[in-house]
Amino acid sequence: MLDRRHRPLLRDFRNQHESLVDYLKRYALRHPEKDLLARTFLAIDVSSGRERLAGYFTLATASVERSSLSPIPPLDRLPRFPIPAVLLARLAVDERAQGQGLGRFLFEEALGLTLQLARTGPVAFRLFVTDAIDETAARFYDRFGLARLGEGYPCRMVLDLKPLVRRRAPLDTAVRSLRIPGPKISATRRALRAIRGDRQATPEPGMTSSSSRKR
Amino acid sequence: MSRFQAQSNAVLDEELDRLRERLGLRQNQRADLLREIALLASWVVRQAEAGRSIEARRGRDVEALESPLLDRLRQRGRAGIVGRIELTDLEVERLAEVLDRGFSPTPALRKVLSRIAEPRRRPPKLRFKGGAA
Repeated sequence: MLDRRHRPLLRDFRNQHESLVDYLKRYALRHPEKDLLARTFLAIDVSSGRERLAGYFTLATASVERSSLSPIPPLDRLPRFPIPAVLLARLAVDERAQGQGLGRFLFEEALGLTLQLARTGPVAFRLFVTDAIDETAARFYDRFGLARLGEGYPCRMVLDLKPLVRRRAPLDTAVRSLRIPGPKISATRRALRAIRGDRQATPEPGMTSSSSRKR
Repeated sequence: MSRFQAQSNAVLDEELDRLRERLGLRQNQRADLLREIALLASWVVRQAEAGRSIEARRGRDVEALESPLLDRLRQRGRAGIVGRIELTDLEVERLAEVLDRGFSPTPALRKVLSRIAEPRRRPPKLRFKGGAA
């Protein structure tokens, strides 16, 4: 998880979208510490012998509401508004490290943390929401089953968390493992700790979690 | 009412009267004037909330509308973390369709879910293109 010690790493981050670099440099530290708005998680590469920020994602809570009060016929299918959601506010990979699967890994971490929170946290969430910055990003999220709600960009995209966290999910290896408490849940948590920075987790040679870096 | 407030109100009234005259409204049309001002102000605020700046242009002359309040709104827009996501009616209908669809995960989502549960999952090995920064 991002904290002040990582400040020097932020300067070198490059991405084709200036807003993703700008967010990291200007707001990513401020939001969890001062505004309590969002938390940012880092992937730090150490393969070259020095630490480099390879990618990050930011999670926040959000409330999905309707902008108009007019009745809509199929509203019965929807839960009551406002709908609680976890917002994947940012996900970016350094442009020099793109195309190597890090984006997918960061997405897995973001969804994993969300499911853990939705499943065992003190509050419930129905939706996983993100705003795809362009068509490439939208296609990336399409693959993981996020549905597009809008036409233009940034394009709002959602994933229904209910089938992923409810008790009687359809038989699926992954969903079953997430549901069963005990060793498998512990295994999931161990995997998630790798990016959250638990010192006991063994980082992959070449990659380190944010808080296992040397001080 | 404090003296300062009384003075401010008088100045404000005078300003509003001048504006009413310039817009060609009669003395008994003060409510119309306020309604128009509210409409214009809400448009300006909406633009600032969307992170846009407002400029008056004539040929090469460009005058930007400056206000600390609008700057604050624009900053908030740029920070881009929203606690409240407002959906249009069309988006709500699409959301209803999504929630109605039932559980049919894509192959990539199935893989993600199984990898999340995998204890030996590791980040990919990376190679930074373009050498050292």
